[in-house]
Amino acid sequence: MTEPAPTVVVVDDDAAVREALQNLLNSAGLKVQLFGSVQEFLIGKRPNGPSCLVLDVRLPGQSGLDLQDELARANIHLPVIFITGHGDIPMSVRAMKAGAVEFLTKPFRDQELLDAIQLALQRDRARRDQEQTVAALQRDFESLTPREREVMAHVVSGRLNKQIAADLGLSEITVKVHRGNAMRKMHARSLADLVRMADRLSRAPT
Amino acid sequence: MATTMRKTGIDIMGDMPWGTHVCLFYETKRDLLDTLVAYFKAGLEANEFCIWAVSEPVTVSDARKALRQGIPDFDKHLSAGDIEILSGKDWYLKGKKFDLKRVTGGWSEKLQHALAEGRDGMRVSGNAFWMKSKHRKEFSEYRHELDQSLAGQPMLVLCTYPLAASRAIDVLDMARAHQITIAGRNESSEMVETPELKQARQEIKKLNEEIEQRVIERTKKLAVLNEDLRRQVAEYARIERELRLSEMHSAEARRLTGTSSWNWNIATGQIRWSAEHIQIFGFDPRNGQPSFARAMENIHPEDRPELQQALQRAISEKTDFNQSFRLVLPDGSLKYCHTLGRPHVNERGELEYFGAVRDVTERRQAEEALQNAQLELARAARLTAMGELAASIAHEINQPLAAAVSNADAALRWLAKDAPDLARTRKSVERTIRDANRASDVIKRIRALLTKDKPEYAALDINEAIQEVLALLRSMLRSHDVSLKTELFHGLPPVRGDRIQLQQVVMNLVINGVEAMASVTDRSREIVVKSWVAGAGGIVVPVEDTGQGLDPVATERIFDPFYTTKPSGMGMGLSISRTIVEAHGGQMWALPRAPHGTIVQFSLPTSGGKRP
Repeated sequence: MTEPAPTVVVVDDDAAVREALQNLLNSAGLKVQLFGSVQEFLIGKRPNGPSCLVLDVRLPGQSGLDLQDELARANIHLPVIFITGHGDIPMSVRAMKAGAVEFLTKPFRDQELLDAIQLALQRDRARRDQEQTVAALQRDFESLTPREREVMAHVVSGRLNKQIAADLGLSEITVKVHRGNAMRKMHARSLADLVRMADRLSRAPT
Repeated sequence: MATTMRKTGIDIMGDMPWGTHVCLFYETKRDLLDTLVAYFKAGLEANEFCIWAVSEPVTVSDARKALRQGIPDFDKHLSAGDIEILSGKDWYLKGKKFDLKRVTGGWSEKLQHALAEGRDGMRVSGNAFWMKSKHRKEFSEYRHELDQSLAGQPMLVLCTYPLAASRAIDVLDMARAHQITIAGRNESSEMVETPELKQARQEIKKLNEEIEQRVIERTKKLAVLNEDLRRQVAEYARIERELRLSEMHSAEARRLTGTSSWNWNIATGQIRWSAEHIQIFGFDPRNGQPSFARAMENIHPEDRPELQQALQRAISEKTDFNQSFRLVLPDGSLKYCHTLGRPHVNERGELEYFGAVRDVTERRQAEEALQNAQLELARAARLTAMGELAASIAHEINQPLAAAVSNADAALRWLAKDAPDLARTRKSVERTIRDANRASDVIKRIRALLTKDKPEYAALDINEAIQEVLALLRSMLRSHDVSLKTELFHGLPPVRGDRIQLQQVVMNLVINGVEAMASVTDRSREIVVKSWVAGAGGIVVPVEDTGQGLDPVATERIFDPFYTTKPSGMGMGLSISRTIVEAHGGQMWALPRAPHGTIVQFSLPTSGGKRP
């Protein structure tokens, strides 16, 4: 499966800085999307491949930090790299706590930015991978019949077939058939595998 | 002389003037003697020389006897020669013949002699008993001659005639011939005056009264005049005192204010300087009044032509003049002076000037010190403002620097490719240079704002100056979440001023506006900087904010030093800004903005207008 090329989204109100970043990132082989303000970014189309945000902390109208908060609330998990002309410690602490990948002070070394971008893209990729795995599990889980899901829930909680049969008022044979179907449909290679899957599903957002 | 009255000693006559010729008709010898004794007694008492020419029936011894009885110290008078008793026969008819010339000459001689002896005059009595009708003619001539010689002389003559021996015609004749006729009869007398004498006497009396009246009046007038004079003298004394006091006051005022006065008569060229004036000009007042030319020598050569022109212009137009100049004193020290003059035409119709000179050196020095202090304060305020802006300014520098570095890095990367992308490399380098220059411009502007302290007046484009300073403030505006709008009128005429100071004003107004909006959360925070042409020869630059606005009290006071509505403000920004604008010949004021906020604006004359 070939994933789309990674895209770096740059939001900075200074046109010269925007241009310079685009130039630098292009020279490093990265695709770049430029925005002059948070509003423009929110209205604009977001890339669907792995991507990250390079944000100026101070932006007219809404600051980079505010945008970070807003994205988090909207459950948009874009890794953020902050760049600033005059960052102070409280500002960088807030940014990092909110999950920023890096906080760079202008002017920065190109490698620092590129490393931060690579790290951010990796994280995005990992997040995207994880999201895709959970999505597959959910698709599998949704293919189970209600009785199969019921039996699976008892199985992963460590109950024996005989106990499950008693709990659900079924014969032990019928429990075994449902259990075999669930294992097959979930593509579980072992009981342990199934337990892990159930755990992931329980933690995934619905 | 004619008015000098003599006591006649004869009651009925009283006092008579000199020159009176009296005719006395007597009835008895007794009457005659009584009358004549009284007559001579009065004469002797009044220092007159007396002559009694006796005739029948009286003898010389009768006369002497009667006189001795009637006058207590008669013998003393006689021996002193005060009185002479002659025989009438001998006197009138010497050699039995009446010689007119001899008789009248004799009287005259006696009178001269008496006057020479220091007597007041002469008193005579004669008897015409010797007169017979055959002598009538001579007698008439004599009487006439006697009257002639009596006129104007200090002499009294009493002629006696026996009434019994006189015929009626004689009496009438005598009475006509004499001024006064007295008839003595049995110790009583009657007096007949001629109308002329009566009139003369009345005239004299009237004259005397008039004179007396005039003397009284004159005395009164003199008293009034005297009083007037006394009053005038007192008034002069008072005026003099006041003048002295006034001169003292004015001298004191001149001394206190460092002012001196002068007076210059243009027609005569005469100049009077007050002592202070002479001292201000560096001369010794003991050497007298310096000449105009001499005084001009002490005026700074650079100021001399202008002063002379101002004087000439004022004189030719007869107007006031008002001129500042410098003095260079013999010791080389410099004085700043200001002179005022006012024309005046004197009573001779000559043009004069009255004027004052004031030594304003101290004030001038104070002004310079104040100006320096203001410059220093303005600079300090700039430094403070720049300090507050430091973070924003760092951002303004960092932005282009970051861009430059990124572009340079990109250039290296384009070059390092297996197939170097030269076009992109070139573009990157060009951008690097552009961005680096931008950073450098920012630094230049900041340096200009921080280091310059002496104002330099030059024609400048206010829009350009505004743009430059706004470029420094952009980041500050961004960090305060303030949007900036400009509505600058294209093609404004140039203004004359100091670029940095005017930029400081704009900076102060913008920072002020930003701070005024700190608490605004329910609407957009906006700064609008405008410029336009205002009337003839001026421009206006308003800076608007959307803050809370000012109450009327604050609107009045915001330009006062140390007045602030902000918790952290020093309160100097607007005060300094106004000082700068006023030094440029402009004005600064505040007004409310609708619906929110404040407009603080300043006007400046364009360079064609009034010089700052």
